[in-house]
Amino acid sequence: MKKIKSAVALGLAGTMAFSMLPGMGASAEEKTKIVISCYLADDAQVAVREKYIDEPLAEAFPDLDIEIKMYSDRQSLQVEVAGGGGPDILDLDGPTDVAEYAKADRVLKLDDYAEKYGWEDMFYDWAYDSCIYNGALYSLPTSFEGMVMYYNMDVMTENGWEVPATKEELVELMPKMQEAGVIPIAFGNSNYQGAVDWLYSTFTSCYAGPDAVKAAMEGTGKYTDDAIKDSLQTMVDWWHEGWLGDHASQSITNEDMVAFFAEGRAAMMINGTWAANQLLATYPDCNWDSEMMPKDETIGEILPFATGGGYAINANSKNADVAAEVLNYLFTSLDRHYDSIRDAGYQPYPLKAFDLGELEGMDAKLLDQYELLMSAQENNQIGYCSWTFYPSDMRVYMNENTDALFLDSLTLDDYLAKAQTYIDTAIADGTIPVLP
Amino acid sequence: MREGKSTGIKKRHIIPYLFILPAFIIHMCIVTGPALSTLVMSLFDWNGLGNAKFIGLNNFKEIFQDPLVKMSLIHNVEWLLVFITVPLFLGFVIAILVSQLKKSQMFFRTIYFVPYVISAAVAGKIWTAYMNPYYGLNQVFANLGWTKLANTLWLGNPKIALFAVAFVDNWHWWGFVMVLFLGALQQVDPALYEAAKVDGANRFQELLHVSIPGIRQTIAFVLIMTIIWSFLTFDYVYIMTNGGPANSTEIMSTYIYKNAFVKYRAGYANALCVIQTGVCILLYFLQRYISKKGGMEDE
Repeated sequence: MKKIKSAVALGLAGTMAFSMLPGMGASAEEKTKIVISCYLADDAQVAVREKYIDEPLAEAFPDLDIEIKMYSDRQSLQVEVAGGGGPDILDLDGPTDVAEYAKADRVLKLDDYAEKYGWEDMFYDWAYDSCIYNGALYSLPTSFEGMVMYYNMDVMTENGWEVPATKEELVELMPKMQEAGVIPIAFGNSNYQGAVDWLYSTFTSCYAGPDAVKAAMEGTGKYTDDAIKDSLQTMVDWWHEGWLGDHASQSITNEDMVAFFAEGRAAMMINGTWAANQLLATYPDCNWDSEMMPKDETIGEILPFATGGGYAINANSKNADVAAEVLNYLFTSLDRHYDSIRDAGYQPYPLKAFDLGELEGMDAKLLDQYELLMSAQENNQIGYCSWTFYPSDMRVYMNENTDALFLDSLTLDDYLAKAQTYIDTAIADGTIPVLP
Repeated sequence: MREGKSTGIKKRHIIPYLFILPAFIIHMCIVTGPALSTLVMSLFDWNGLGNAKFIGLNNFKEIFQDPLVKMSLIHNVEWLLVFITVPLFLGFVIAILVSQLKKSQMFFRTIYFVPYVISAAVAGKIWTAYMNPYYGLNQVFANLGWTKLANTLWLGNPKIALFAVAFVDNWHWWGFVMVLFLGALQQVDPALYEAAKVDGANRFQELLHVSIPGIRQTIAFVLIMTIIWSFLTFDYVYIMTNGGPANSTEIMSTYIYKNAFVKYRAGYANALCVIQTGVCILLYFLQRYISKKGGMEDE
């Protein structure tokens, strides 16, 4: 009996030791694993993602084991990648975020893959170029968004107000709104200070003009130039008048801001196209419309554009070629993409092949918004959102200090002068983003 | 024979160390190691992701020129002044009152302690909603006709935002201090109170000459914890104001966090951690010295 026990123990120990040898314990048919990071999502969002991403990927790559891994916060992903691990495909916050990973050689240059798969011709130039850092492609743009003015049409109609076409009409309308006890433009950033980038990106793009911003970023002009200064002064003046945020934007959250707009406490809201989904899901009865910011007569209508996120390949990935193939599938499986936009409100990829006609049947307001984005793109009415087109440290500075302008604890001149130093540094070290 | 005896003595000496060895190894791995790496990385320019570049003391030079560091430290000192007075006084007074109760003591102890067990995330969000100028406490003040209070932007006014957040943290914290004091008061020998009564002491004299000396070590403990935690505090500020508006609630911990994870300046954040630790150690020894001189701790 003792001998049998010893034999069994020896056998088990031997099997265990054998299975621990590299490759020995694995089945010969074990699939290559590809991990893709994604943002934290609730059960409903996960179900949608499974339908439009997980399942099609599994079907398209039966020989791969593809896992979509949720990260509760960006720091966990950052620490994992810094530690030499992390997923194969990183879903990052956009070009400025990708630039930090590129600076640290944590993501791969994608130029060879771009050539292999013809990515440069697939994407709109502005979006593709925004993913270039220091002369090389490091990511592919995952969403396509812009800053627009939302109008609560019930409030507008009840008060007999017309949607303003120009900045002058808007300036004329806002005091009337205040007199009627309505907040002209809802804004709140108490839970996310950085939401001010929606404002300064919009004001500089629409009221200084894209040319002034582009000149500043290319070094042919300055961020301290009068055009940019005046546009930001307009933003500050509107805040002081109470037209923008009712003097209390630092006390209310983004969620409050949307609620105020949807419930009619505010008539307008400067927000991204991503807010449309939130309005439809949370406030289905809200009668809203969205347009480009009322134009400055000398500049015309401008829509500040951004790529909201970027897919990059982890430099630690052992299967980079396979990861690139998976990425290529995501951007070329257009039927899957159209379904995800039409049925689940996913943001469109900035692809030249994108056909609005394929979205028929989707919510009319969302379709209107996509038409607006497409038309701005085709008519070259492109403005610049900071999270895509500004150096990341400049954006961080502006996000942290725009409230100080509103609260008069910082002068506009000092603010602009400091912002300009970040541009100078980025130009000097060749890391300035490429503006279309 | 002699050799055998000395081996036995050696074994007896080694065995206690073997018992503490696992804890020591774990401590070295998860506390001492990372702490030393923080010290080393403070000398590097590092974005938290890639290879670090040695820059000597440049991070420290920058810290002394960074106005936000100065501002954050001032906010920490303001925070400390609030926490070293309000919750200690409130906790002590209420502990004295509750200690007089016989039947309902557990009830009050529980009621006052409850905020401490609510997570900072939940309490912070609830109080942020209360402090919303459109539907929070301001509406109650408006209904009561208290116009000035009704128009106050608790979290939006840079002059008061830090104190508004400190109020909420106090609301959560003072009950814990009260329970500590209450526990200590119950350990004071009742014979001392009887002796004081026999000597003709009134309630205040009892408090001054029996209660306070009896709990002096607890007072010293609460003081040192308050000082250290005031410089390490993070959660309520991060949740309620995120350091805003206009950096008016920025404290060292939130500034360190932003540098490490928002600005991708992990090397600089490490240097800030070293400074923060240095300040805490300095204050710790200062407090120990003052406590000993004041007779709150044994020499």
